[in-house]
Amino acid sequence: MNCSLKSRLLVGLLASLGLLLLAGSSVVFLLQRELLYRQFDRRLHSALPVVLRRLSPPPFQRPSIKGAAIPGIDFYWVRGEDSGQVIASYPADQVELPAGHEVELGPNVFFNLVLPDGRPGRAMIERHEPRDVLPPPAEALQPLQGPARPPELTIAIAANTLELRQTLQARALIIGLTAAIGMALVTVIVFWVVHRSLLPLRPLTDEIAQLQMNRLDRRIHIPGLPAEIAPLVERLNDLLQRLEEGFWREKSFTANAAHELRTPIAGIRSTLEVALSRQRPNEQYAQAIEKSFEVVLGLQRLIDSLLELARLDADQVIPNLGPIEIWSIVERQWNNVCEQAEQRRLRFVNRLPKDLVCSADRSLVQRVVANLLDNAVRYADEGGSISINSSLEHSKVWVSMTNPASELTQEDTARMFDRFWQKDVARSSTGLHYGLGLSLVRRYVEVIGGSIRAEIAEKNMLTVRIQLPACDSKTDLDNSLTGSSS
Amino acid sequence: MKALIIEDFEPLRTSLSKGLQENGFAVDAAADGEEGLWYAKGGQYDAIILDLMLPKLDGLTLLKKLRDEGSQHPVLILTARGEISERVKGLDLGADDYLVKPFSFEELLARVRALLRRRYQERSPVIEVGGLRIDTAAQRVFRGAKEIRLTAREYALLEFLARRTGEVVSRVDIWEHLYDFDSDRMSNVVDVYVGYLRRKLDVPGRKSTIETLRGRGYRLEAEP
Repeated sequence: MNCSLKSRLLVGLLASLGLLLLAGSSVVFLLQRELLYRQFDRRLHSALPVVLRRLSPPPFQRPSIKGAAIPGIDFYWVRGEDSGQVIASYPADQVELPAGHEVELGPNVFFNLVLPDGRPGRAMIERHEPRDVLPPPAEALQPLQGPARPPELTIAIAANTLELRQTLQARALIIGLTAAIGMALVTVIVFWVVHRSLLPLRPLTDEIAQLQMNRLDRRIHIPGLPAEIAPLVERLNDLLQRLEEGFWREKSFTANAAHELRTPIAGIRSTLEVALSRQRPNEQYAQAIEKSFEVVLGLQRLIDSLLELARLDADQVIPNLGPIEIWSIVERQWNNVCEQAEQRRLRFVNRLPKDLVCSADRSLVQRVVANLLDNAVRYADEGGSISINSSLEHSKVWVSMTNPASELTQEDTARMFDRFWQKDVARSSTGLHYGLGLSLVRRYVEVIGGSIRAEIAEKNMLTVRIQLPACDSKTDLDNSLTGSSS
Repeated sequence: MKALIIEDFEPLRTSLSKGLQENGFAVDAAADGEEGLWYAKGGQYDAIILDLMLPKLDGLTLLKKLRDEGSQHPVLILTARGEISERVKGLDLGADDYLVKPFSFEELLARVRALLRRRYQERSPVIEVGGLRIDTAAQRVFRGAKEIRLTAREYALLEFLARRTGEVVSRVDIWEHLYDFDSDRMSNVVDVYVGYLRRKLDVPGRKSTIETLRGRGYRLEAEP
């Protein structure tokens, strides 16, 4: 199922904002209600002295002011607690409190009730000592027989709440409407913000849709991308960069391979065609065949190298790792090229310790050493010396080969392991060198688990450094040597 | 006719030289760009066959240098890359034609002949001059219906003169167009070959087809 980011954001934002608005307006409504009830209660309470003033003086032997109305008050009721008699009430015949009075009596108790006339109302009930509130007139105190305990009164005062309810309803309506309008505005704003925020996704999609295999140089550029999407685009552009580089490498490799194949084939074709164009002495035919044969051998070597590279690229070359002694491998490979080295007056210094052992594939290391020595003998400055050294760092063996190479530059060292790289496109007379040797060397070293790099030091000295895993222990070697000799 | 081959791959260079020589060309050959440029600047070539990927100086740069110096030599480029852009670049830099490796030697020859016709502003491969009919494609010469058999050198000399019918052509000119760099400049090889040609072409009792202008050179007349 497709989950729209937009709808998710909208639902989440609107639901939470709606809840917030609902809670807010409820609080406002409850506060309003509390305020109105307090005002109402204060009004009831302010009627208390009026009621008390209307009572006949104590000891309230008879109902004194039954039936007298007080403005704003719909009901009152006074009972003497000593006698238990209702001594004043309004309406006059009201002997009992109306329904809803089942409350604990105490100071300032308010409760809702139904007035005797059936209207909803709110009442205040209070136990009261009149003296506290209202000192009796001086002449009224005279007939008292001795100091009498002031009688306790229970007073209830009530008024209808119709107006209060109407006010509350009106307020509720206003708050509700405000909340609804607020919600509508919030919805519009949220919708707009979310829409605007997600707007760059569309051009991004369009740009990505326009990416094509033959136009990998394109980069996605959309101004004003939000911070969350910008890194995504950055990564995408990085990926495109890598893709383009890989694609370019592959393409130039194919083009180079095609080029390297075309020239020798052109040579064979033209040699044979010219030879066949007329009758000739047999030696001339033989010469043409010989020349073509040489070129064919060169072609075969090129194709072998290409296949080997393809096999390495497809991870089909599995190294047979084991402890190997580098010194003897170097010596043996040197023997193969020493004649050529003598012709170019090159000296050779093998400074490797004889017991230097590292963990690698013997045949691959042989190929690496053979290739590097062949290169050195072929391209080192005439009369120079080729020296091989080693060092041990953090359980890694570094083997380095140094020779003078005045034609090479620092930039060349960065590119010399590239496929088909040649310092000059000069081919040997039969096209035997295609610039694949060093790229094969690099791949071999990588397969073994090592690394290779080249640098030009002072005095035009080229140093090729190979890092190989050191052997875990000497016993491995001893085991393998005894194993192989037995 | 004289051609310069600039190609670093030895088997190709050698076979092209040989093939062109056998087809009546004097051939100079260079193995790298610098050497090629040196030859091209110094010699009179009717065609330069130029490989693009060369050591020391690549073919396109060589071509540009040559054209910048005002050289008019017809140039046929050889490229190993099939890409159109490279061919377009070569043609735009002043190459007259191109061939993609590997190519047929026959096609190379035909294209070189086409370059020569363009150079001498001819449409047809057949030149008719002085009662002779010279088929430059087949490299055969006829007087009427009768074919006159010539060696490659003799044919080359005749074609060279025929392409300049009515003009006085100096010995040096002939030598520069027909003999490669290694030939001995001081020898009277031109006179010797003119003699051979006259013996084969001339009709007894008529004026010689090739007229000698003392101290100036030779001339082939349009009318016998």
